[in-house]
Amino acid sequence: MVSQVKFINTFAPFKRSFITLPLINFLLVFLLIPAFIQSVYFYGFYSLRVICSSVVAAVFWDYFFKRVFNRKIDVYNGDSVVIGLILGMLFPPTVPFWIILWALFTAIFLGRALFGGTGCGPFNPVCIGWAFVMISWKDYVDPAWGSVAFNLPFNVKFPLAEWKMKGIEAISQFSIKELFLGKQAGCCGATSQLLILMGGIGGVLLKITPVEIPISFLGGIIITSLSLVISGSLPSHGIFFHLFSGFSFIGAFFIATEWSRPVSRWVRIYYGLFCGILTVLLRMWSNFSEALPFAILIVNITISFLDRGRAVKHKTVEVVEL
Amino acid sequence: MKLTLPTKMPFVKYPLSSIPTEIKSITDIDCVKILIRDSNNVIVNEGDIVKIGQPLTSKPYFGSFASVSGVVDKIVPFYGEIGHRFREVIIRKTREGDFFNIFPPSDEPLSVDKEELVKRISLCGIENIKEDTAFLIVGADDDIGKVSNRYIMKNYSKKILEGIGVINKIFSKNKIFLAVTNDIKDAFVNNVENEKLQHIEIINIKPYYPYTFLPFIISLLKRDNITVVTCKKLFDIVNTLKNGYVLPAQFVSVQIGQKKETLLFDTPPGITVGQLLKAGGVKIDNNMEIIVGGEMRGKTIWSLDDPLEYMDESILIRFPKEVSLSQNEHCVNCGRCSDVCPVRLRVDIIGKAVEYSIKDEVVKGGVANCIKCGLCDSVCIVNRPLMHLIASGVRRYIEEKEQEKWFHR
Repeated sequence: MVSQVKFINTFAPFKRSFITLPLINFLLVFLLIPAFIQSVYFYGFYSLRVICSSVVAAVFWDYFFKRVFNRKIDVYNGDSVVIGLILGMLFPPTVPFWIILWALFTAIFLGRALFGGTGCGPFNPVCIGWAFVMISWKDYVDPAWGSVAFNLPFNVKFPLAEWKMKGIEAISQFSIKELFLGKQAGCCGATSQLLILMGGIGGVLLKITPVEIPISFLGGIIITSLSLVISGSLPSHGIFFHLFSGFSFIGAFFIATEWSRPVSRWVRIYYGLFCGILTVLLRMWSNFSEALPFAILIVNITISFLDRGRAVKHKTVEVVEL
Repeated sequence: MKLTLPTKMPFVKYPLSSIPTEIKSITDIDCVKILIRDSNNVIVNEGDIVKIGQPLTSKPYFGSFASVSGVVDKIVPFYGEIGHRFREVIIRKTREGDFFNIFPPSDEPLSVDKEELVKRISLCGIENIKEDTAFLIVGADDDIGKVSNRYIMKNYSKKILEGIGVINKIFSKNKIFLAVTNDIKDAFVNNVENEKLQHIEIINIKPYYPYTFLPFIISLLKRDNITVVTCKKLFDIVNTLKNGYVLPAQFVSVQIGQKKETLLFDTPPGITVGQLLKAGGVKIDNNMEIIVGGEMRGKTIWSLDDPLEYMDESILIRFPKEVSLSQNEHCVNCGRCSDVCPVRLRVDIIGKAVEYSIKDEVVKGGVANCIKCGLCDSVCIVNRPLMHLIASGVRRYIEEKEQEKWFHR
């Protein structure tokens, strides 16, 4: 009996998981919205302008480079929206528009388009865009001076800049509770630590961000600030000062976990640790008041040599008997 | 054992008498072909007696089970369209190897005359019981673990002993095997010595799940002609004693497309997939995909003549829209495929190396160890065709002798 019907034959598996790249990017944007709302609450139209223009510029440059390089146009994945949102949060609210264009140009060119797309390049696009603009036009982008002119109910100063210029005594004017709630000047939303922590924990629970990177990042910060406290260059509450000021939480949860992160577990722990260690060291001994993106860039370069294999050697595997 | 059927889903029950018109009774099937993918580990030889549910390979989960009981006629190589090499085991159905439930379940004491016993045995189709035939009495029950009360044990063993006594009187020259679990074994040993039943040989068995119970016993006694006599009912599924014999039925659920409604069929094994679907009123067209066994490790069928095997409990039908063919996307380096692989391979490195034709990375990455579970492919964010890449890597860069092992896992 020969059946004349033709069937489709495919390999297993016959079902795919529902997690796709557009869903992940949508969830990341969703988790960052509370911080965005707090920045609009503080700075009003200025922060709204910055973030919206950065998102629009990101999508524009993404489309532009994909047309120029003749690649498949999948702007609907949402990759560029996430880059625009995070990078817009790192700028102060008085940044001019042409700097945003320049920053996103380098971010998408050197981070994505030149090397082939998402996840293909060694550089973190947010970090390299910010680094380019910070080095070239420091006065416009420095979080220390961006929001000094605003009239707000809290102490409108960037704590890391105060520490760098005026010494240890300037730390006492900040209360740690206010720092944690995001009442520090500098940027549109990257410093609202509590809301970003909530978003980051939500990402970990939804299994979007791998657990090892934020934990080791914050652990690295804690270790180096502890050693600085012991050696005397920081007061006793210096650990919390470094944890809650600047871009620490957004760096741990959202910037370091971009697609240029490593794959295997021990390399991820190394990545987070050294990024955390380098941020505190660069904050202490460099010209810049906040140097977290530089630290991530330095460690990113060393990863491609390490991310080769797993810790367990392969053995010849026989068929599993149940 | 009680099967709890889902009450919310609509189910259709097809008892044995109302099988589709092409088959009137199970005796109309002469031969059954069973397709085995693991051609290296076939246990059975030509001429062996095979019982329902018996595994035919040494790795029963991935291999096949016998869907009818009978005699193995031939073992024939089978060449499919894609060029894989399989084997077909052709079983000619006979009454040898069937099992019969002569004593229906009841609480009355067993006192049966010789005439009535012979009548019941003749209903099963055995007219002459020769001196060579041996009896296997199974002294176990569904509630195997619950026989711990001494009172229950005494009564239980009494009933079985009465049955043994009856059979021993009538068929005094035939050998009797008694298979019991540990709980009941002690009671029997004492009684056997006292009553001097010398024809009885006791076999110790473990309380297996009932589907694997019989094949385990029968595989021990493969070489004799055996008629199995149960003193108590073994299966809850066995509902009827029509025609004097009973086959274990199985429940097969058929899911069509992405709907959540499924159809449940109560079928004996041995039916082909085409007959089952016809009986259920499912239209079969070109370009459908019929998967037997489940979403992750099921196998697609090539023709409608494949029989339903013992462990097949579900059929999934998919249409071309739902067959999500993967696209040629580039890797995003998220690492989910390697996180999920049970053999801990770096699937992202292997996939990229096959795309760019780098031999060293593919072979060192351990492609030959892949067990084809498909988890990497299902988890990929960007829908890359990882299984196809691995298969093409195996074909290109690994020797032919070792290729067979991978394809026949």
